[in-house]
Amino acid sequence: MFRYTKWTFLREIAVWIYALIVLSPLYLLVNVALKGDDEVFGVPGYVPVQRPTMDSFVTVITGPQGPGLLGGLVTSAIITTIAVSGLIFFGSITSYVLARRMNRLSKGAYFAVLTAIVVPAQLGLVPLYIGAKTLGLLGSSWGMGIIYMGMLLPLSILLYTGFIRTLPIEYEEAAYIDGSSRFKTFTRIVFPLLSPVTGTVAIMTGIIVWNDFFTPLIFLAGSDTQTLGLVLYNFVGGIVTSWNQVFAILIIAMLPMTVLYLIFQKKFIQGFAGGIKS
Amino acid sequence: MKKRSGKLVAAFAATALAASSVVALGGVANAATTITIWGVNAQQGKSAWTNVVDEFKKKYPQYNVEYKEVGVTGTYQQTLLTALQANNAPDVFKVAGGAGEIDGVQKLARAKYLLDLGNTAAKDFAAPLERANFSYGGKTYALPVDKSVGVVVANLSVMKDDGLTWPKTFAELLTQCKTAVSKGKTFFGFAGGMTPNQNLINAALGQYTYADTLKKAAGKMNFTNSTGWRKNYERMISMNQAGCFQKGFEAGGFGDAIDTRFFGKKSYAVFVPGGTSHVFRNFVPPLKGQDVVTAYIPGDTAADTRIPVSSDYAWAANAKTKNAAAVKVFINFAASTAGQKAYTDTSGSLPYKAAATYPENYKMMVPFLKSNKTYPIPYTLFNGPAVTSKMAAGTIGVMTGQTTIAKVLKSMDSAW
Amino acid sequence: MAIAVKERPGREPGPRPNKVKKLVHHGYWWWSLPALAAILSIHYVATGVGFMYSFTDYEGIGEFNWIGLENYTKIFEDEEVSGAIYNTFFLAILSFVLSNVIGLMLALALNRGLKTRYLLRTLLFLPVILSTIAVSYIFRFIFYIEGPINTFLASVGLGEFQKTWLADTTWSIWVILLVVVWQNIGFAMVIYLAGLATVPQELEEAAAIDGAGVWRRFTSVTIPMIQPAIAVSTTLALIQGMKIFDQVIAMTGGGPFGATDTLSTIIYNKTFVYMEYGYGSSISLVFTVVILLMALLQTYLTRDRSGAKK
Repeated sequence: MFRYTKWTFLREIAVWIYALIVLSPLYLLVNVALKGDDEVFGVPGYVPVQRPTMDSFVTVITGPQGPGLLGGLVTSAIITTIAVSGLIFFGSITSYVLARRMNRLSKGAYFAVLTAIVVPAQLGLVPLYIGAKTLGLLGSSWGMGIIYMGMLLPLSILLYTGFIRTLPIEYEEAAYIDGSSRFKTFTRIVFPLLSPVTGTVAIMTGIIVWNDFFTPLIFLAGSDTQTLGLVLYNFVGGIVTSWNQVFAILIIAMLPMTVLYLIFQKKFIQGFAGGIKS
Repeated sequence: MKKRSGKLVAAFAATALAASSVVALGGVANAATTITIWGVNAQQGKSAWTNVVDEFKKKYPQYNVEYKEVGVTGTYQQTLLTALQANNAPDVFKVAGGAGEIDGVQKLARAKYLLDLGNTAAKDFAAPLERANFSYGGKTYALPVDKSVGVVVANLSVMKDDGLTWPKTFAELLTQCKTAVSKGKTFFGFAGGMTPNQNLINAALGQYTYADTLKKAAGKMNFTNSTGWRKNYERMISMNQAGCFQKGFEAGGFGDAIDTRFFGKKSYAVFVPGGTSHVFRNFVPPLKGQDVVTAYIPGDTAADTRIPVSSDYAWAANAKTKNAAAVKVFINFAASTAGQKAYTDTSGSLPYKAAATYPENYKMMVPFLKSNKTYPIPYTLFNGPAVTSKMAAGTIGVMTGQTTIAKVLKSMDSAW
Repeated sequence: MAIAVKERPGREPGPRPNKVKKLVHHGYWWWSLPALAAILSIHYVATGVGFMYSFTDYEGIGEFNWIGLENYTKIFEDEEVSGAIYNTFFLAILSFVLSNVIGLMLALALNRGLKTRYLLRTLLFLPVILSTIAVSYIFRFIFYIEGPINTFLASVGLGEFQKTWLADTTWSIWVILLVVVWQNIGFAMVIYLAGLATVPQELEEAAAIDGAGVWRRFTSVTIPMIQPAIAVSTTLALIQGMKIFDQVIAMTGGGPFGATDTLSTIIYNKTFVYMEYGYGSSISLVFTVVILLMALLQTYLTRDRSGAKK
């Protein structure tokens, strides 16, 4: 039906030119990180590296900031895992109850959940900070994971509820007639049916938590638990003149998410687009 | 249904409360001879706070010292406040004199977080005129660690190469700024994007503002009608117009001002605490053998010139400490000649009590110290950090023309 | 929350359907309690307490006093706040317009026929998943005074256009805007692509046969069909744009003299750096009201005029 004409070809070229311009900062990132000290100073960043070296990477990993950087990777991974597992578990089970029980109470609860998405967190930050302090949640990965769960549950519930409402009820009826308990019906029958939206929840909230800077800046201030974003913030200010080292740190920090994305790119994009449609 | 959910919520709250009290209990188990201490990180080299603790450990091995460097200043202040409120602050910690900073003595003492040091060597340690900075309601709460002289550090060797010596008057400084530009340099490397550096330039120019600030503190004047404060900002504007600062200083960081410009010998001087000259000339390879000294910004005439001297940093103790006896031993040590030396050896600043001899890097400051031509840093007299922040932000605002001097002064008045 | 999970399941309450006895039981109502309690406390109770703080002079330590509306009168005199409000709207509106327009154009360009469309989509979406703080540092280098932009301008003889970008009172906010848009375009593009995928090709062809030109087909067939995508993408872009924080903190710290401060950075500084909890809370309240109003206005403007269900 569709013909690949000369105009389509030109369109393709134009988009490629656009893409190369848009991605040029990433070229600079890699290019400068591969430069030795002799090539960084006095040579414009866009001039291709002549003698590529991993020196900057070695310096930042073995240097004084090395342990902090690797610690940041681990901390961010732990916090993201805790938060995402919690968001999947509590999000799915809550949405299941809210979506299947169409009484006034659950409708009201759902409305309250939706409203919470729009209300910005700022006004509640100080009380939340004081509350977290009272409960001993400040400065720990568990605390951060729990805070994120609370902050992102509305999003998780929104995504799950939208999906559950489209699920036919017959499977559950069959399970019920077979004498399956309610919890088993949920874990064995309903939850597996939710896997597409579970993927969306995991991807969206995972990216949000992994890349978030603001929340840890406040809740982890001064503690030994430092996420990747905080590590970057604290290091980069100090070594701002050695751009090759700064960029080596940035690459190490960006690598995990980028690799995941390139492997599962279709899932990522569908996750975002699909999450939005519901 | 309603009743039952009420019960569940109550149960939830009770569990949460129990959990939090368990967490709180975790921090209690301390042996009688253990003393916990917090200091701040050094930007370069070893932290002076750490050195005091190290010397203390050598002299008093019977105490088990748990010491921690808690970030650089900004992080430190916030962490300390959090810890004090959460009841897990250390026995002894760094504070700032006065009320102008977040960890200011008066602010913390008013909130009853500090231990009365009346039975230690801290009592009557500070000079009578400065005692107020370390006490509250007539009681002593902190011990100054040093005397910090000057907030400018200069490389006289680089100036000499350009045929210059340190300016004697402000007009001469402006002329030299133009000379520096003609040599492809700038007189100052200024981290104008960083609040601490904005504060320091105000300290450096403070000889015309401290008198008016004292009047303001006594309620006898407003910033709005202070000629000294107006002059302060006018001088900054003329420095900017004379090209005293590097291009892009408005967003400059410490890396730009210090590493690139000062270490790279592209600037004659930077705004850093005066003691830093000691660190620079001894521990920074590119400056080895260079004549790096503590300097000042001259007054309108040579006779007018005064230098800033302050004792901003201090040790204080936790009101809730379980080891008051050990705290007393530590404070007494910190007040002793050995304790003060342990600090100043590393920081490069001078001991609080007058020194007999001055190190080489203070040679330009000695005549002023000997003739008492000094002034306290004006913003240490402010009543809160909000005023300091308006003063600091205004520094850049007036130079870029984004605001007017009158507006900055008004904002300082309303923040007071 | 983790604590609440450990709660013993209560005695068998059972659902009590209000009207008809149902055939199937869908879990227990109390399964939703931990999540609802967390949302209630984190989003509502905390916000409510914050509202209360905004009428006090709380400084983070010690006691606080009720000072009525004093914080609010202070807001209107505080040039820092009014400047930040202006910047927030500037960044929100421009980033919202730019990322949606460019995103939609890209989606249209990629939608049909390109041989490398999946590869391009993958590459163009990449910025979305990168850490904002890391991206901001890359751009800080690019716009550094001795960075690639300035050296490039000099090398092609355009030296007079060199600027101290991030220190410039006019240009710094445009650099922030660039970074925000750079990261948001891919997101808008993907949403529009998903929207365009729902437009049946036959419909467009039918319109074409009826003699409708490209623009006419776009406005009368495509736009109405992707209305839901437009609503979602614009709402998110607007709310994201209102909350800009990381880019400013990493690149300019809000300077020079507040030229790039946003409401988020001001609130952070007042509250968590200068410990003016009370005053910070009152600015947060203003911020909350502004966002809610924008969200309402936006929902109204992009409402589904066709009357079809989403």
